[in-house]
Amino acid sequence: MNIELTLNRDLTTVDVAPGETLLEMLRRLGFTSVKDGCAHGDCGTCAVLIDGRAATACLLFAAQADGREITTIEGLVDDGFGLAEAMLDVGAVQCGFCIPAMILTAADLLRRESAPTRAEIATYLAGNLCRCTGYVKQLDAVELAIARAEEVTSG
Amino acid sequence: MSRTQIAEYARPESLNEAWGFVAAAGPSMRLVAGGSDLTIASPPEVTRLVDLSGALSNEIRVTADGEINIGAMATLSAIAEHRTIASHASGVVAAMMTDVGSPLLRNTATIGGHLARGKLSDIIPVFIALDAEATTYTGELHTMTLAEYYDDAVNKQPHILTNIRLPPLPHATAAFLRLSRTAFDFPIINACCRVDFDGDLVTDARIVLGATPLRSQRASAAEAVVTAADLTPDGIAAAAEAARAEITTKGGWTASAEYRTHLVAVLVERCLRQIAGDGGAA
Amino acid sequence: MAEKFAVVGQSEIRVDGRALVGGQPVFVDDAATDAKTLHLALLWSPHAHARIRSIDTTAAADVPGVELILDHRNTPDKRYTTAGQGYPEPSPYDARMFDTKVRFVGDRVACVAADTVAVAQQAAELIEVEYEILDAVLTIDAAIAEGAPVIHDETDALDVWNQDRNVAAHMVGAAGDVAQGFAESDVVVEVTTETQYAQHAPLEPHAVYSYFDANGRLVIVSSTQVPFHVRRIVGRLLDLPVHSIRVIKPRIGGGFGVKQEVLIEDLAALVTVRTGRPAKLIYSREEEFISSRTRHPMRITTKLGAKADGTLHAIETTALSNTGAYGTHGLTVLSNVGSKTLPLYNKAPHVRFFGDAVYTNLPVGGAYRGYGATQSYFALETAVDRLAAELGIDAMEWRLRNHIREGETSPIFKALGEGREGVDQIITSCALEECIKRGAERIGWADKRGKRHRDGDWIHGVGMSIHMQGSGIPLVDMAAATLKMNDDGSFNLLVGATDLGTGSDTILGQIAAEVLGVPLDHIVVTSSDTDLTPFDTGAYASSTTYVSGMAVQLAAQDVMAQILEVAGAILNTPTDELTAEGGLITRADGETVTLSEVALRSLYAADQRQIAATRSFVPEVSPPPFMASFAEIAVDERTGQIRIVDYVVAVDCGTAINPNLAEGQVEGALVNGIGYALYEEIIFDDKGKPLTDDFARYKIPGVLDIPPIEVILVESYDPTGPMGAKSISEIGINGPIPTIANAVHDATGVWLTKTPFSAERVWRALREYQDRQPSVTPPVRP
Repeated sequence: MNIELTLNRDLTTVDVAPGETLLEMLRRLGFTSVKDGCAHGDCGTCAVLIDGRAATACLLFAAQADGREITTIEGLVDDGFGLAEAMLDVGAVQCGFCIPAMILTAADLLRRESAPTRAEIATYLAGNLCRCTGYVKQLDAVELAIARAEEVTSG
Repeated sequence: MSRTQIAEYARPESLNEAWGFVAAAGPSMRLVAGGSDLTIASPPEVTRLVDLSGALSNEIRVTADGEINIGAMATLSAIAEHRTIASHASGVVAAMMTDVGSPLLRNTATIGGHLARGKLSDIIPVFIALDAEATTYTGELHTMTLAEYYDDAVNKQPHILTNIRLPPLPHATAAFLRLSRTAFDFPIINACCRVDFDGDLVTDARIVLGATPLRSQRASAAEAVVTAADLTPDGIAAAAEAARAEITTKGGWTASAEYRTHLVAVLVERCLRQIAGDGGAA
Repeated sequence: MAEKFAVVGQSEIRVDGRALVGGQPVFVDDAATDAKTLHLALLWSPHAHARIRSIDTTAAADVPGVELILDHRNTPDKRYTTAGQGYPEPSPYDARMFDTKVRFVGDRVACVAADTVAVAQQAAELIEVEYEILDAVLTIDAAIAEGAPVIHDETDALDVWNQDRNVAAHMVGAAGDVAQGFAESDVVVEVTTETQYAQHAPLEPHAVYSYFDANGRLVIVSSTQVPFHVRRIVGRLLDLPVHSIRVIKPRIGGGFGVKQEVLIEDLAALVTVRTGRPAKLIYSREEEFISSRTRHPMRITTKLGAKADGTLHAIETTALSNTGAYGTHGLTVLSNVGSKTLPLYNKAPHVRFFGDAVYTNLPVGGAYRGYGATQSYFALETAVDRLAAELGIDAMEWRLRNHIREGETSPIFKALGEGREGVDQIITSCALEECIKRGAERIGWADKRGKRHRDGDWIHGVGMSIHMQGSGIPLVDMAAATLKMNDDGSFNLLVGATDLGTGSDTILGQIAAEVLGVPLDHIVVTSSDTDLTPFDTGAYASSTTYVSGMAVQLAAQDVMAQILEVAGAILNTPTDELTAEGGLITRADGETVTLSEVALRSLYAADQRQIAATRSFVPEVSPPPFMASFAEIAVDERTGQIRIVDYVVAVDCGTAINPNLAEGQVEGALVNGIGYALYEEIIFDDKGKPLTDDFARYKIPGVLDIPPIEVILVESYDPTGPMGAKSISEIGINGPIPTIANAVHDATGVWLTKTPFSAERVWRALREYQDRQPSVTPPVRP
């Protein structure tokens, strides 16, 4: 069956199987930033933005993306809030398997809240598991991105 | 494991059309309403999916007298972030909702999908405590209390859950507590207490335990203990003891029945103490 | 002490960082597979212990798209070990690719190769197996009981300690006479602890992809910590010469030891060999839980004897390790229970370690960050707190008096190695005293210890523990590095070392850049390709920074000498009158030559040659990193829940080559350790089937579960390591269990002896404690 969706800003038609998940579809199309870490909605490494909100692609059928806007890290160009750079600068990237989804989830938050507290950031990243870092530097990175954005705005 | 047997995906555009699928369907059909466990494991007999997103509302409407009407397709995030819900019954719904799954799940999980599934829920005991009503469609609309909805005669029969109604509770103070291993985890047990005050006098109360791990249970004897009196430390202790005695628990690999029963009293007492503090009573 | 460095000591951005944040196709499963690729699915044993009477694959083979089915009838019957260790492996050869007997729920029965994953899975379900179900051994006690079912009754296993008694491995190491030591002691304490089954849970599961290249060589792309061991072990198993196999490790999504195992490479390789087609196998999360590797659960008894003045006089640690169905890492993990802990308190003249690793019909133990030390420190460091309490000495003060120091040794270094005798060594760097003092200062030890206070139902306490690990395996590990110079004065660094997310590509590049006086971006790092890079035993045993780092440093020094020679020729100056800095070679009078000029001359102009060097390093010692771990915790006395209020660790890793990455190693290990201490646990039903086979049931810490954490890097300088560095990847995981247990005792008076410290378990312990002492109400400050 064909679905029509906006994929990283491009209106796209994709032929999907009725039982195919959005995760399977995106990986089949070559979006390797969307990882398969558990396929149960528990690890968060497959998170993408669906109409701007971060969600696990593994728990959605591809058909549910029909008519909706899907963004992966590949499509997060001008609206990444400098999160990728901040993650690298503070050393928040270890194996990197969780990072694209972590950045997307944080971007969803920052799009709605310009200055969340560390606790609010943590609350929003609760579904993004990381086994390497202990999360300290990832929270540092989001805070750094916010601080840099504030500098730009006030400067 | 495999989902390759799924041959059909339908998205009806109206409730009637959706009901047509449900009424006609046997075990080969499953409903999809938001993020779905069917992506993890679809039983081999499941060959047709019916997506309710086109047939049901996701709106959250608030009437002039404060009644909140939630369309079944509203996401848990939309409910958690809703301005009126944030202050309804001292904010218990919004506070509880941050314990449900994770944002990545709440952003696509719908209230209808969650309630219809009905398992190990933090939402159900809270909604029961808030006297929530469910509306179902079976060719015609039926409205019932959420507790009644979980009667097998309703819940296990073909139906479409269309709306949830939270009645206005201007005099209510409520609290919710849960215990789990990690923050993003199923509850080992949870409790929601709601107390309606007239001044210091308790006019009505709901004490509901969930994840026992049986279906949510009301602690009626405990409710009676605190009703028609001031909410005092002694009353709270007596209510906690009553709840411990009347709530049935079961053991499993995350917790024993004995521990869960112990926690019934602890959580009920803590919820009521929190209400007593927040509500200015006692 | 530390030298002044330019690139080392800087928190350089990871060399692979941009590809990772951008989601580039750098992991095994990202490789574009061609249409001929076969996808593999496995049939797992549903029984904990059974003999396979027959297998019928007819129905499965008839499914369209099925190409090949492997089981015990058509695969090599050699015994081997899946442990990715050096040759000869110190683990018993007790496994077969597919055996006629299954020994745990999740053991391999058959493997289907088909055109799609779905077809392979569907066909696997159609395989009919007749089992003769045998009595299963599901606990350590059942394994060693008289008349217990024999799990390894095969006649062709090698190097099993005692097959008839289910003992896979046995280890003893001693100095002095502990019986005499305890008799001479004024105070003796003894603690027995039990630790649980746990899983590494890297977010990327095991993944392998194999194919024949254009020249007919077998290429195995694997998410592995040990590419060279994969090449050797797969070659032996499948009777393929090493020269016909190339193993490539791309980026990998974490390992923590579980990928120090040749777990699935043999399957993909054999399918490719048999069919000529590419083959791919990616474990599901469920398979990762039921059929990869685990942390060995252990029961450990540690006994300490001290003189009245507090001096430690005797230590004895006795361990029973559950190695599960196979003995991989059984002996070496067991050895480290003693060897990575007992030298910490080297003042005792009487020391003894004794241990057995026993088979059970449960999942297979393997290498897991901490490698036996994690389990052992629970017993040792809680025993230390009990001893100090008996002696009436503050637990921190007692540790300061008794821990090992720079210039000292321990007889255990020689008496106990990894599965064999160890190596004598003198501690060449130790900043543990400073670690303890800085950690204590930061947590507020003096104000809080022994002064539990109440906040509602929560009672607060503080605890600590101290630790050592190692830096590689002395006289066993070997790493090599090749450096070659390019036209523009940049360098290719080729290392066999395996970056599993740790950042080793980056820090090895930093070491080379430091020696060569260039920025990190002038070092192009290529790692872990058995065709392109020199040998390295692999990423385990905290070896990479220290062992591979030394190989890089030596190669870079060699290349630098060659550069100076060429520069001397250009400048007409003896090399010892030249200095190298900032990409320039400078003569005393200020005349300079650039690295590019050196390269261009040697590549094109005069005395032409490739400036390059390959150097190897075999460590003769294993200088331990040290750590002091402190936590303030609160216990909800009514629910038993533990909340970590504050966590501080101070770690001595020698020079921190890249402080951000070093801190990240400690933070990650610490959080992994907190999960292991509080809730991570594989739970089985009464037939040995794991119930916790996904992240909903097996909980690992999420961001909301982490306490405030502070990592203090206390730098020392180890003269035997690269730029003074020691390794740091494992030690952090050892802290949380004993630190939390000691803090819980400080708060409540209860000694916890069994992990995980689940709320219910703590609640029960509190209740038992109160029942035992009905008249004593713990003094609590309001």
